[in-house]
Amino acid sequence: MMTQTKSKGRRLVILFGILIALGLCGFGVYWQFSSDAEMPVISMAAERIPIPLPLPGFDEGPPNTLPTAILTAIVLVLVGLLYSRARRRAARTGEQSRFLVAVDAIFEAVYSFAENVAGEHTRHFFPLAATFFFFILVANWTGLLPGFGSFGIWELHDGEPELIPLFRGANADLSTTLALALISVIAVQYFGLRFQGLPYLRKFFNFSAPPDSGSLRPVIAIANGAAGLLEIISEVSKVFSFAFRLFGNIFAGEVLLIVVSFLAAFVATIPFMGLELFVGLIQALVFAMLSLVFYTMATHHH
Amino acid sequence: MGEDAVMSEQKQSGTAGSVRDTVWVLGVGSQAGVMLAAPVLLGLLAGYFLDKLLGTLPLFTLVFVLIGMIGGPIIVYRMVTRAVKSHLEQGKDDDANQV
Repeated sequence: MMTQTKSKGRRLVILFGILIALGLCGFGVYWQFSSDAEMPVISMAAERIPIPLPLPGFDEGPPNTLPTAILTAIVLVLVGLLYSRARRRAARTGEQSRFLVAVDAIFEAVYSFAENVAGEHTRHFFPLAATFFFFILVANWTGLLPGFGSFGIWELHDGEPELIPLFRGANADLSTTLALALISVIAVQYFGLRFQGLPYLRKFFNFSAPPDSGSLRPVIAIANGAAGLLEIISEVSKVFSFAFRLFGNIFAGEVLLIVVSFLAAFVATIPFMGLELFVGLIQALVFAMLSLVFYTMATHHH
Repeated sequence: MGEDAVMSEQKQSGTAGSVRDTVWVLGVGSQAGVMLAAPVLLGLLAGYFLDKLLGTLPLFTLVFVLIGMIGGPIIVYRMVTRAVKSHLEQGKDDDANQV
């Protein structure tokens, strides 16, 4: 009897919830057609925040991805500091806090994943790859918080008022992703030199031919030289593909969310928010894993 | 009981492996896709820059774009074959570790 009333009450709550959601949907659609709500201008480059403070290096004001990037860094540094404090406390009292156990569990999962990909050299690659993973993950997910892209300053632009958002997902700016990609590809060269020594450079500048090749020797030497040139182009295009994949995915996600929220308000964006959470995780995972794959490939000679 | 533990362990490493494989395919696949296009764009940029510098507008742009178009697939082929090779070697190591 008790359970029956309980389930009835729950059913009523669900029904009310659906009704409220539908009402909000209808209100959103009504509001859109009754007011002249305009779609915001979608800008591919990060907008500049118009602040009167003269900052060195930012003549037109800092880009609106900068606060997000700093926020992400602060969050990660804070977690690190809290973790080291919790670790010290655990060493003193012998009692592990929930926070410590949670961070340990996440790190163990990421480490075992990295070990699965990188094998014996995981110890050397893990700090950088995990930093990529956590930075990109936190930056992607903070970009989905309410207020991002919608909270800003109205500014006259070519005579028309335009909203300059104060926050924008850090990876929705090509500068951030290009910086990450440059660090990753330079690290590939570093690990190659560290584990193979100078012979690593033979990948790029190789004009040798096997001694038993006879009269074909110059041809093979030229072919090897051309292959080295291709290797150089391949390293440079790695930077671009890293940067453009991450930027494209995250920026497309932001545009998708804006468009959907202006097609049908309130509830319709929720599944797309879920999709963006998933895309943010997958892109962070892919970036870190590809870095690991390239580091592993750079360690052994081909 | 012991057999069950071994079974569940194998199952677990199997799922971890399949997650790894999925992300690997996603990563290397998308990387290969963009790397096919990147040399053409790079050739376009470099060629256009050289042409602006030397005042020979269509020449270097065309040559560099052509090099990019030919080089792109070769780069992708080399990258993917190497990545597959190292991936398979890694998988073998894991299997060896499990046994």
